Amino acid sequence: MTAAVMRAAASRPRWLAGPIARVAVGFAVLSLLSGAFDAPDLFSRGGIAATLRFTAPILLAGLGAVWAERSGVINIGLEGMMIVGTWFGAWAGYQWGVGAALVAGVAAGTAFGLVHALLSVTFGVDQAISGLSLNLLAAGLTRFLSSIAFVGIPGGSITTSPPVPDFPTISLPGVDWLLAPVDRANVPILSDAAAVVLGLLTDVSVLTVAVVALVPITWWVLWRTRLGLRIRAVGERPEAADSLGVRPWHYRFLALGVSGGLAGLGGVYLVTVASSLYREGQTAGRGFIGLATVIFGNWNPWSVTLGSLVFGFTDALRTRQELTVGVLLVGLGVLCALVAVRRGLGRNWRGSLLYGVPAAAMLAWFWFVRVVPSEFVSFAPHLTTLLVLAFARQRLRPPAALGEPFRREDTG
Amino acid sequence: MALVLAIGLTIPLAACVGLPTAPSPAAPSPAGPPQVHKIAIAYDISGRGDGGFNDLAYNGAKQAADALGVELKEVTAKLDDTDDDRAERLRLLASAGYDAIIGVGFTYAGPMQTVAAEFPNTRFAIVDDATVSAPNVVDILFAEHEGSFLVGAAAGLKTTTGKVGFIGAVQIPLIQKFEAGFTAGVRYVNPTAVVEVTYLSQPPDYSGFGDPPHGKEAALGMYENGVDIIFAAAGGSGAGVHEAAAQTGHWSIGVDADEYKLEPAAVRGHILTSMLKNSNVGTFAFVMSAAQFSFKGGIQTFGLANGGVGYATSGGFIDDIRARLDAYAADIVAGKIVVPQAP
Amino acid sequence: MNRLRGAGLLLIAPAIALALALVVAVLVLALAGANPTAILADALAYGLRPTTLIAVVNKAIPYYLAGIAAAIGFHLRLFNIGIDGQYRLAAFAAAVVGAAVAIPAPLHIALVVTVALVVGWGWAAIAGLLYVRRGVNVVISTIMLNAIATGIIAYLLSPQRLAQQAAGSNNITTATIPESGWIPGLPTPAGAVNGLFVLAILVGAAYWLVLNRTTIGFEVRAMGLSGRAATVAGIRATRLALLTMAASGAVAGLVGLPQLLGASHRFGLDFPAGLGFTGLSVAILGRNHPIGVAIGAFVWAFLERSAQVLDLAGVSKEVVTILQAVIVLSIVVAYEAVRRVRARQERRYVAQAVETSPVIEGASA
Repeated sequence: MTAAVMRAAASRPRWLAGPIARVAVGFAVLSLLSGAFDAPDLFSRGGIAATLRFTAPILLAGLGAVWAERSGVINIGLEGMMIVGTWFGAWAGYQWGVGAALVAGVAAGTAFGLVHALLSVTFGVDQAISGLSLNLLAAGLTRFLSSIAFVGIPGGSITTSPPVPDFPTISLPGVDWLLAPVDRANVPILSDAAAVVLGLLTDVSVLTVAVVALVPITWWVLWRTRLGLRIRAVGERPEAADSLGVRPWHYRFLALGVSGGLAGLGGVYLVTVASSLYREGQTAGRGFIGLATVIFGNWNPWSVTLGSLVFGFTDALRTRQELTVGVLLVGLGVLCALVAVRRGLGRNWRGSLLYGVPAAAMLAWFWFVRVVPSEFVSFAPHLTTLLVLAFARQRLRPPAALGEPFRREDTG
Repeated sequence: MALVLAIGLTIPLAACVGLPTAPSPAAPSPAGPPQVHKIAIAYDISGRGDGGFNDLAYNGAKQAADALGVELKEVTAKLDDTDDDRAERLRLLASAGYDAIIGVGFTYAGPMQTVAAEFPNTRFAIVDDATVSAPNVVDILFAEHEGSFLVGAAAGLKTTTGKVGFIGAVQIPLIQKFEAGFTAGVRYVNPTAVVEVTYLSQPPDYSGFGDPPHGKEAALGMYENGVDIIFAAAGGSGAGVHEAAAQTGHWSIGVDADEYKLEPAAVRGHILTSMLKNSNVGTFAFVMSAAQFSFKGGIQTFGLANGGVGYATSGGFIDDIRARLDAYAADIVAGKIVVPQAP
Repeated sequence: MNRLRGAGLLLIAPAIALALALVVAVLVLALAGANPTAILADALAYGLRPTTLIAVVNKAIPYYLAGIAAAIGFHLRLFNIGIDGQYRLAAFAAAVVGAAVAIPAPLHIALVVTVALVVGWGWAAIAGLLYVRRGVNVVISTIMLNAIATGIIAYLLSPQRLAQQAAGSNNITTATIPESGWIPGLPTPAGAVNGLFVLAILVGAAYWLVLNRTTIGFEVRAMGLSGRAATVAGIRATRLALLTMAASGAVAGLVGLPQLLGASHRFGLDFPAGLGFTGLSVAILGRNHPIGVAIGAFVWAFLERSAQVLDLAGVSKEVVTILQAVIVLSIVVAYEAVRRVRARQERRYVAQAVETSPVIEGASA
């Protein structure tokens, strides 16, 4: 960086360059753009509520991955654990209510997590293979169980369960009264901000609140307690931990049990809040996307949340209003262009080009084509995640012993 | 054939009253024992339980099976099936003595052509396809676009915002027939109305047939955008659309069966009407004709003319426009209105 | 080490796995309320019929190709979950190109195969590039690319673009490839074996040759066994990863060809999907060995085909899926157990040798 740029950087206040400022600018740009186009808003109360519903299961899978991988075990089986969570949650739910659904789904996920631990930790099977096999087992098992338990029951079939009850929703008092008028007033940026707050704080499912709470809880347990320290130690230097009396197997079993339980909870969420029954294939790869958020989020629960939101937001967007995907495309193009300009000002030509070319491409597309074909809309969330992963700064630092089975006879 | 026509004459009556049941055979049965001992129905990927045409096909076959006192077997398909696998499935059924075999969906077209030639004494039927040509195969087609035109007209007449919506399960030609008819019907009565279209999934991802949460979110998005009536041509996902209608106080239109009868009380008050695709009529007719010596191969189209499709009136929400809708139906049958089959 | 004993030990693992699978099968069938022995006997009888065996071989050919594609990636612990997207995109492109030309037979087929190879190679290379340049985990990028491939195919497979819809049909397909692009079946008394059986053998042979008789194959195996040692020896991990992903994608591109060139001759809405995941399982079963993968593919196809009979007997076909999962799980556990036994034996052998060898003057501890 040249001296001029460094001087310029030093004279700007710190908070202006921080992540909060970036998010604010991005939000403002997207909000203004969606107001300018004759298309539904990018940020609406219903859209934000839908975003929460789409994000929560992915977030749970992501948190599950954090627990597992921080202890050093790759967990590709999250999808399978979520699948059994959906099935057992629905099976218990339609018979005995949401409480039973919760217990059954989490228990099923935990059981699968422990099986994964048994295979990879005790038997030393390759962790990825163990995970993949569990996914296979989950798919076959649930279909088979459906043929026994759901066929013949009204509303049930080999691929669906009878309807499952839902969790109650709650709202923060006063928010609606205060902000709903702002939302309706259609003031640029402010109305959108009000919509976001309304979507986050009103008519939220109790389970969603619990899921959100799990993020700081995960952080606190893993980074502020002795238990968490041991789990992380086992993931970084299992031999050292072992020599100090911290048995890697025990902590990996624990971490994988929690990991499976969280994925199972994700499954329960899918059958109670996001929908109201079990439907074969309803996890739709969310377990894998949760895994992606962990890599995106540098194995840190807060960044994992951000990653899940990216996918959840784009998925909600493209489901509710296909037209808004076009607006999002333009918005991203403008943001990329802004970054390209900034890099250009800092004489960072390579960085400028890196952001400038995609910006030009996105804006050109929209200029000429106007609307994104619905077939492409279907993969908007996947493409977005891929682009974010590709462009995000890569200072990734996975746990050092990730993926290595711990065998005592291999040490010293 | 005569039997089918006899059934066909009584269907319009049944459809208008909203009963999707097949009536008892009107013609006297000819002498001789029934030729059918075992019936089989082979579903496509989604299988039974979608509340839609797979279920109705089953209903028709089951009614016939019960009437004749014979067994009905169901078999399902897998995503990675090849034509060879499907042919083998039909072959196994035929060689196991099943005399009337129904294949649901166009994926059985090629396999059925092959296997029908191997088993000339077995009667086959394929639903939703018209390319199989053999003396022992009946191609059962439905004029979904005609029925969709009528519910589209209903939506066009009843909308207060001028915006209606269409949610399709999977973007395949079969569902696009519904879209084409619906849009044509809306535009016919309300040329300035806007029709918003969305499909829940793209092939070969058929999850759109059974994804209520996605259906619900898509519907909520449309309602928030000013749409007040949504036609849910989405199989099992329709449940989500009806939920969204009830939640936001708008209307939805069901498909295949009279969904007013299937949905719980809280939701049904928002179901304007349903596009009836009486696949039970088709399968019932096939089995009975196979049993009664009156079987003839070829294409059979079930449309407005013979009561294969129609609209439901349960709930009484469209009583005031029934006369107009029936007039359009007559026009379609007479050929005065030509309904497109592709968007 | 006694070689014969080693080989015997290696065969025990699959034997244990199959035995375990049998036990589970009986349990599950009993749970489903059926008579296990009768059903299993029926399935076996059906499965061993010559016509069924030929059909099983035909079914196993794409499984084998998918398995080799997966195995290539597995050597470097690159999990190519994207085989599904790669083969469908490749088959679609190959179908479109194949139907658009009419040239003499060998050229036509070569063209179709080349297109499939290139498209599969390219689509996987995207994931490979993202991995080496931006560190994006291959599992994630390939899953995302699968969804993108589905969308692209859906967009192009439309009568307004590259496909057509026959009158009265609800299927959309590409135009049919002219006969010069067809590969005839190999006739046997019990039925025709798909002509691409030959291709599968060639691919398997090439896989073995490259892996065991070329420098690059050596580098891949070295990197797979010990990344650190390989890097010290000068083998560049990034270059290898890219080549491996691309090769995996190229083979993946061939997975759809048996169906395209030997059976349906066009790509439609009914093209088989999901073969990629089968490939992963089969590669695990076969331990990445070309013959092992072949056996795994055959066993898998056999189970799937015999399952058709289960339907007729009123038992859910999904019993087979559970069996398949159990077999995979028990095989990996069994192999691990065998590995441990051998390691212990080796240590004992070495310890004995050290004890009985003479002390060397001046040797340090």
